[in-house]
Amino acid sequence: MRKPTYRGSNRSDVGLLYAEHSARVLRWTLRFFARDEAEEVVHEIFVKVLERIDGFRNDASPATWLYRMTTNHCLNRLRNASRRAELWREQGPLAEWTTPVAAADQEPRTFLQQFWRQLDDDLLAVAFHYFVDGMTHAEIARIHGCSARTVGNRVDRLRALAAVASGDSIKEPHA
Amino acid sequence: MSSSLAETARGDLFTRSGHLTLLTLDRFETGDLSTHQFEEVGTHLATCSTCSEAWGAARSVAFPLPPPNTRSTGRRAAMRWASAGIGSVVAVAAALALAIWLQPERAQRSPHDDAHLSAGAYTTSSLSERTGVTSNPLDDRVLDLRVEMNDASIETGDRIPWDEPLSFELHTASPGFVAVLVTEGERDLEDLEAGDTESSPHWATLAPVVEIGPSTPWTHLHQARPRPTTHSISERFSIVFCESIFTLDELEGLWPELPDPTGCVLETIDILRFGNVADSYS
Repeated sequence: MRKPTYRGSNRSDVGLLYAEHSARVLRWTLRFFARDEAEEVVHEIFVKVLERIDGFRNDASPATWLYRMTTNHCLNRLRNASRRAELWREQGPLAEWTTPVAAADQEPRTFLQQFWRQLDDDLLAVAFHYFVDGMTHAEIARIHGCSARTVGNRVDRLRALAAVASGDSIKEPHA
Repeated sequence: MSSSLAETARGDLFTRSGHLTLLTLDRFETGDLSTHQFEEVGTHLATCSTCSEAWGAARSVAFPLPPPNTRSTGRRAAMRWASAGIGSVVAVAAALALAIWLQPERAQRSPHDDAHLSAGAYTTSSLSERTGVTSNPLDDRVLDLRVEMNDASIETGDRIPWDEPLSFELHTASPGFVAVLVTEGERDLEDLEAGDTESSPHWATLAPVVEIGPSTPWTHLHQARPRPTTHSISERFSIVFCESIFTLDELEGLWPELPDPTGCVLETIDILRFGNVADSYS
């Protein structure tokens, strides 16, 4: 499997990244935005890529680095939208690729839909990966470069916030 | 390597429901997996109809995305690409402009960790993106913002002792209202031992909403205090200026909602803190 090496100038590296991953980043972005807007968002993301190219070079997994950046950028862009935007796309080619929601995850996911705009970046990103992408603590920890324990703490925090919002007592986290 | 670090390094290819994650499929496509992981994914795709369908659906969306055309893209993105040069992108200067003074003698500057994907010194602040508040460098309405320690300018990334006061001064061109939020970053001791330096921020109102005008600059003194806990490592100051009066509802765990985001300006300053935890608070 060919892996491009990114050790050239910033411009050439970004060009390589764009050629290699722009379609992939578009797929990820389509989960948040309609096609026209998604293409613009992809371009915004690669402008950011250039600003943070040193961070990319220090990362062992280009796809993971871009995935994390794309998710964060899309979530932040949604928050900055002048209109209320749906966090989850209900139409589109990837609409069926949704993770089954376990019973214990339903309340936090509902809370996330209502209050995502008011969550801090770290909590929102972890919550999105956990309750929307269905990722494990270990995978989220790998993406964010933190410990699985930190991920667990944030998931528990969102569960607690959801429980308070619904007026229920705090439930034990889903195993 | 501790078990938690090993777990972090390995990650997980599957969702909690036992299917491949979207990211795993992309890493599979790009060859960003170990040999063992690649075989594991391939074996799973051969046996799981759900994942193989998702794999096919995802790839059907992907086709080469052409470089941006300035006529077809949104105006803001087009301007950025046009200034950068298609195919040979140049760096975009997007620094938050704070007043630049002489290097403080006591502030210990440390390189800002730009690998972290939250807002840094040269990006739109996360709170502004969260609330829709403008965070352009020194918006026309904000003439000057100074944060100082002992008459020396403080900038994002500086390392400041806990027991030194900080002064804030804001000059605006138009009347309005200002408030300052502070977020204290903490580091869990067990995470620290595991090599994890992530923080769990909690925010509070540092300076409540007050009225400010062109002829009445706003000043505030953030008193020196002992290090709150052994886990306290940083502070983020979010200075909010709005043309209309606003309130800050301190909902635990949630950032405040600001009214009329288009009429507000936000500046943030992230500083690292160091010092000893006092035996008692005076």
